[in-house]
Amino acid sequence: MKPPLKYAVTTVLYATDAHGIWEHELFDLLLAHYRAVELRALREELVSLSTVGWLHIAEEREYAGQLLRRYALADHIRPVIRFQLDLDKLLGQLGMNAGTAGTAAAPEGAAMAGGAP
Amino acid sequence: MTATTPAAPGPSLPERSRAADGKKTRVGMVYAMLAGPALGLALGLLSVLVTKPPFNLEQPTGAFAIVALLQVPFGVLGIAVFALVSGTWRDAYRLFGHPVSWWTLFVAVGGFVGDLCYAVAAALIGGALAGPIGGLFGVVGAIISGILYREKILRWSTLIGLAGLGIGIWVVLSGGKVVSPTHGIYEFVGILVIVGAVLTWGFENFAIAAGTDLMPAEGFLWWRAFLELIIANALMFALFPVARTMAGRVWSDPKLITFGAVIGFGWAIWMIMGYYIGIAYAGAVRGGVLAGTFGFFFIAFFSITVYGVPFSSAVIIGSVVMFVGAALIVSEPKGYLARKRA
Repeated sequence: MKPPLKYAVTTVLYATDAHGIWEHELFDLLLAHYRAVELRALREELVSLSTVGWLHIAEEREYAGQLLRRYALADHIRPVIRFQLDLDKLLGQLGMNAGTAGTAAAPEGAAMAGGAP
Repeated sequence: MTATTPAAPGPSLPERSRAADGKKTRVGMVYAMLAGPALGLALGLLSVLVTKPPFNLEQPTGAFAIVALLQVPFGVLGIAVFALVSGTWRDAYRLFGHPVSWWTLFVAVGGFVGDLCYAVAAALIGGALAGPIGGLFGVVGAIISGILYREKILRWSTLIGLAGLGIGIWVVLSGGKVVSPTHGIYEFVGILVIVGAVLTWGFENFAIAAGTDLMPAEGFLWWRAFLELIIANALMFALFPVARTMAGRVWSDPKLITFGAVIGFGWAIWMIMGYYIGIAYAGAVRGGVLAGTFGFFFIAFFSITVYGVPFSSAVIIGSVVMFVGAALIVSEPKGYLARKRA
């Protein structure tokens, strides 16, 4: 079963390091699991997460009049997401290797460990 | 089309980016306001019907019955139709299996208690009085979110807005002698009950904001209404035997069922547009305050115009002052709307 788009977006961003992921790369990645029509809400989800301060824009570029943005998950929200979502299950549903995600998230975990013992 | 004018020195990228995000917040605020008349139509009618047969057989059973038998069943139906048409119904079951989905139960209980308190207050003090006071739930939700979520709320315009709300409420209450069906201790208890509704809805408002951060709003909304339907009916039939008589009369009267459809569908439209889309897009502070104040202003407005409650200028003037106060709380300088929660 596919997770709701919002869970999927959050999970992918969680598995990505502080460098973040371009919006179009995220679209391509999710296109393997969702129909294109279901992904029309992708930008809306990203803006929602950004409005509440869960995401920050790591880089912005312009291409042919279009705004391209690379989003990265805010560090302070990672423990909340770990608590609220069953990430192993979601990573499995999205066909993302849990091991890879673990290593990708490791630098974040290490960075946070400094602040919270 | 914009690619033909590359030489024009447009706004910088971060500015464009912020403007794009701010647009969504504005759309949410517009949705929250547009939904107002639907709530006025629905809860204004509920406030009139709750004092009429068969609901006046016994109180507060009648208030319980109008919520459990008319408002919520048709509301659930309306939201289900919306979910089916918009294709978001799949999210309603996909969102389970994660701890965050417990928010659905939290908002359902909070929403049910608030709705029940509103119906009880409407029976005691009427919709024209309960409406404007009930609208304050948006402000309570905004304050809770402002504190817990660090949504920026405290500015000079917020303080003037809060003062406006206070003055508005005072003016509305002075109209209570005209529009309230009861007086003395009953009126006082009615005001206490609607204040209870305001606090409960305020917490629910915050919970919706917190839940929609992670959960798809439409699926979340459906469970909020559906669980309320189950909880309300189970409690009512278990605790109040008279409810069975009322249920029999309600469901055998086509006119009452039609009234129920107006109440339930109107409530569903407000829930979808104002409450959930408004809050999910514009945040608990802006979406919640506008959906609350504007929607509940229309309850008072329709009650004393369309639904035959004695007219009182004080209620209208007070409601308008409250609305201006709410508008001041949510007004933001341009380009400042996005990324509120630092």
